[in-house]
Amino acid sequence: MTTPDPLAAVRHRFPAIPDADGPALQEHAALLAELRERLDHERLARTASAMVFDPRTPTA
Amino acid sequence: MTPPPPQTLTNAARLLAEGRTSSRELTEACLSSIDAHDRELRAFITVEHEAASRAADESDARRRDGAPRGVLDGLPVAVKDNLDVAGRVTTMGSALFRDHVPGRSAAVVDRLKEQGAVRLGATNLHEFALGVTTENPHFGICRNPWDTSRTPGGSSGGSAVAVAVGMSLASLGSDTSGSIRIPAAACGIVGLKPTYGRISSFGCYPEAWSLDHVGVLTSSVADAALLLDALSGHDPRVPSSLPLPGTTTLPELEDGRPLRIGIEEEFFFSGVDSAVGEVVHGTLEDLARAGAELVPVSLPSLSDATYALTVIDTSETTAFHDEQLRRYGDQYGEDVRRLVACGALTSAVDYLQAQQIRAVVRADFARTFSDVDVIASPTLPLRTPRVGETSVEVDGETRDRDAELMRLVGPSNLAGIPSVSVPCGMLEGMPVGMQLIGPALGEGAVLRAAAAVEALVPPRLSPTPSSPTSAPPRR
Repeated sequence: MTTPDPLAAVRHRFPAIPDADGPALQEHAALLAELRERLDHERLARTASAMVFDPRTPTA
Repeated sequence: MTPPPPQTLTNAARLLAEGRTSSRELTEACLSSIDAHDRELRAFITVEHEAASRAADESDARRRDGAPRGVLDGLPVAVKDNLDVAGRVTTMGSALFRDHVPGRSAAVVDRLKEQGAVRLGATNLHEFALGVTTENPHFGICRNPWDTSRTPGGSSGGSAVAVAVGMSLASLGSDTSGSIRIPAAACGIVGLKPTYGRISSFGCYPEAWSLDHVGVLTSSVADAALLLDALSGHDPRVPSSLPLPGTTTLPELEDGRPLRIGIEEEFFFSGVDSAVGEVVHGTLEDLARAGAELVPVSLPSLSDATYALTVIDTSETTAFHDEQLRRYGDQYGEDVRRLVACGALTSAVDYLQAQQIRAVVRADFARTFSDVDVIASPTLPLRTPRVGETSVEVDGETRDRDAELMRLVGPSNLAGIPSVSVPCGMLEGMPVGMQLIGPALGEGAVLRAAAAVEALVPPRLSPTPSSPTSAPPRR
């Protein structure tokens, strides 16, 4: 699903983003939606995230 | 007249050891090349003329005393300007950092110093390393020396150009989604991104923490091995640093065992410019005739790799730049501001699913490397784009320039595995690069394979920097 209004969504975090960035953000949102649509969800259902918290290793 | 190819790092090291040249002579040759070409090519943001000459003289004095510091002593090297240098302006290619003077140096900068290398200066990059063309709005558009109307690639464009025309004998760079290998391929040199955590990223301005790699750009494969061996090793200051000693890849280049080279067609050769594909396939056939075994392989998860990379890269970039963009967004270049904003469009679910994909891709690569030593592909699926064009034609189809430049090099960042680009031929006067990907900690394998390619390709000529129009104004 594409973000309905990408410029408005981005402005929640970055209020000063200019109108001129709207088309590029729209294009990126459409690309993300298209790639997301094609994901092999069955494969993902069998897989844990690569992010595994290991309490033995430092994180900072 | 075409000038001779630039001096290699390994040859210069040998000449220094034999007393047939001096660090001063090598350094002055590089500084002269910078003076001659950098107004047009914009490879450097800062040139350290005096400090480099002084360091060269100190190196020559050490050598006269029979006490060189290491294998790099006296060798002139350039450093990408997102690697901190204590006491010297380090800009990250950003107007925000135009006057920024770090208090501590990046780990690799310290390693160069410990080894006695001569630092020539800071090379131009795409702003914050967030792009693949090095069209920097604050420090000038970096240009490809083979054809100055074309991009050198990026983000380590200045580092690649410097090596290609002999402004430096080698350069340091960083690679988050191909930023070493893209410019290496476009400029006809060798670019190595090692295994994640092999070279310390301490003092490297972050782009995307889990994808960021520090690596090297050189004139030859042996040079890449020499530099990797000198710079790699554990750094307890960085959580991602692997707790392993430095590599010893240079002797591995002599390993004469036949290579098993994996060929994955569905992702790595799909949609590749047909003429580029022909050059790469031609080199692979030559490798087979020279004794390598070409093995068809399959990595089905690569179909989701572009999504995972896009989500992880933009999310981590935006997390890092979040407050800075809010406060100083007016000082960002347009393309970089938009890129950072894009990360606000991904959700936590997207990010975690991208990390799931990453796990599958990593497992696919690991399985494949039980059957082959390396996987080969074109580094870039397209001909080198012209400066300023944001879409490109590939066999009559219009595509997004940046997506195409990153398409084949990104998966090894996602999996954290080593990958090198090595020149494998020429196409209409521009270099073509072959990418060789290896298993985690398999730098020796990718460099050995790259050396086999290098041995097949006629010794390259150096580009002759010349512009079809007048030199661009210094910005």
